[in-house]
Amino acid sequence: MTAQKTSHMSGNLPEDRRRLLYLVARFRGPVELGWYDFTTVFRRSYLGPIWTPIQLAAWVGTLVLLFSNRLGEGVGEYALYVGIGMFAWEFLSTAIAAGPAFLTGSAGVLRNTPIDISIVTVRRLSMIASKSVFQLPVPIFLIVIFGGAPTWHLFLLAPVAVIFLLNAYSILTILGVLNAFMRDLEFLTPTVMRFLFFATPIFWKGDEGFRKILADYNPFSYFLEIVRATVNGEIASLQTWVVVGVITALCFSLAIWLQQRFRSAIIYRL
Amino acid sequence: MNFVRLNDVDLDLPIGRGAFSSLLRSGPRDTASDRIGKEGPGGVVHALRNVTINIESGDRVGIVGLNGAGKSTLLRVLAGIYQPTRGAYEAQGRISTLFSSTIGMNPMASGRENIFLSARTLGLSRRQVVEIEEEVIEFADLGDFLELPIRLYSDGMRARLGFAIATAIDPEILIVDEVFGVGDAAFQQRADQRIAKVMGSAGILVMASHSNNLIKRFCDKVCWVENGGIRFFGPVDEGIDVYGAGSKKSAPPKAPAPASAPQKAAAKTS
Repeated sequence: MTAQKTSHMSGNLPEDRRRLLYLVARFRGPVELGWYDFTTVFRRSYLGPIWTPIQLAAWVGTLVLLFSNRLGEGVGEYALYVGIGMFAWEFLSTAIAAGPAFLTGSAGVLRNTPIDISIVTVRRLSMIASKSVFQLPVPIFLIVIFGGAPTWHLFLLAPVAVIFLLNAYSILTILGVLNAFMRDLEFLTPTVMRFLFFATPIFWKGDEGFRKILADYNPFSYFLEIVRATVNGEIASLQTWVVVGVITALCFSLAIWLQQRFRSAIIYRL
Repeated sequence: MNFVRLNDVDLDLPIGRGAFSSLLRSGPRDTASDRIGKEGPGGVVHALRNVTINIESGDRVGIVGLNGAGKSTLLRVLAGIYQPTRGAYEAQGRISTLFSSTIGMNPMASGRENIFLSARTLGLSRRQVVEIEEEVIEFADLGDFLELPIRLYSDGMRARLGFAIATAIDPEILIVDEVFGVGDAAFQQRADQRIAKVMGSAGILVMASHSNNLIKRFCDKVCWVENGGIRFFGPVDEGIDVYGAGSKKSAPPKAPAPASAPQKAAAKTS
C-alpha cells in the first residue's frame, strides 16, 4: 500500500550488487547510531566503556575462583572455558534481555517518523555488538595466555560471528514483536534468563549424568560449543553445526515473517 | 509529481489491554460507543472512518479539529507511519515529519552531536549531515550551549534545535503537528520565515494546528476532521469559516462523519 520513493541507487550496476549496496547504505546509519548509543551510556562515568570488559572479567574471575576445583593445574584451561562461554553467553543474553522492551523503547522514533522496524532493530543489534567489541580484550587475553598456538580454525570465527549476529537480530525481532502484543514478556524474560544462566554449560561441563541431559536439550549449549571449539583449534561436531544451523534458519525466517506480517500492527501497539 | 492519497480509509487503534486488566478495572466492553469498539481481545478505538483525501503537489493543507477528533492520527496515516485497517494509502515523494522536536536525540549528547544523531535517525547520510550542520547551528542559535549536553537545555532550546534539524532536510512532503508554539517570539518569527522557505522547496505541506492564523498564513486548503471523519475539505477561507461556525455547535465526539461527507470532499479536490 505504501509507495514511498526510496530510489537512492542508480547506474548500471548488476541488480544484486546494487541491492547489496543499497542495504549497506540503508543500515550504515543505524550501525553508527548503535555504537553511539552504547558509548553514550557511559558518558558521565570516568572509565567509560572500559567498565564493560571489567565487568566481564570480574564475572569470569569470580566463577573461576568459586568453581575451579583444580586450582593450579588446569585452572587456565577452566578460565578459558568459562571466559569464552561467558563472552558468547553475554552477547546472546543481552539480546534476549533487550528484546522485549527495545521496540516499545523506540516508540518515539517509530510513531513519529516513517522508518522501518528493521532500522531500529539493526541499531539495537549494533549497540549489543558494540558491547561485545569492548568485551573482546577478555577472551583475547585468555586465549593468548591459556590457549594453544593459533590455527586456521580462527578464520571460522567470521562465520560464527555472522551466525551470532543473525540470531541476535532474530531474538530482538521475535521478542520485540511478541511483546508488542503481550507485555508479559518483559516480566517473563528476566525470570527465564536467571534459570537459563544456570542451565547452560557456561561454568560447568555437560559431560555426564543430569548435566549432560540439561546440556543436550539446551540450544544455547550448541552456540557456546561452536565458539569454544573454534577457539581451541577444532571444528565442532556435525551435530552441533546442524543444530545451530537449523535454529538460525528457523529463527531468522520467523523473525522476517513476523516483521513483514505485523509491521503495521506493531506501531500503534507500542 | 508528489502526492499523498487516502481512499476510503478506516483506522482502528487496538487498546491492547492485557487479559488480566479486566479483573482489575472495567474494560472497553463496558464502555463501548460509536468510537470505541469491542473488536479484538482488548477492544479498539475507531480513530478514522471513511477518510478519502487527495493531496497533490503544491497543496498546502491545514488540518483542523477539536482535541480527540483524529488530527494526529490522520497525519500519521498520511506519513505512512500508521497503515490503514481498511482502504488504500498511496504516496510518492520523500516524506519528512515534524511531530516531535526531539526525535532521535540523546540527552547525554551535546547539541552538535545531536544534530548528527537526529539527522542520521531521520535517514540522512553522513555527507548530508555535514551539509546541513552549519545551517542548523546558525538557525538554532544556541551559542555556547551548542557544545553542552542537551539535558541542560530548556524545552524551548531543545525545540529550536529539533525544528532546525527537521526543517533542514529539504523534504518533498512535509507533515507537521502543532510545533510552532515553541520558542520565544523572535524564534517564532524566524521559524515562520524558515517554514515559508521550506514550503518553497517542499512539494506538499500538511499541517495540523489549532491556530486559524497559522493555517491561513501557510495553507491554501483546510481539512476539518471531526470524530474520525472528514467534515470538510476545501479552500482555506471557506474552511476556516465553516469550521469556526461548526465547531461552536459541535458536541463532544460521538459518531464518525457520514460516509457521504468525505466523498464530497474528495470530489472537491479533484
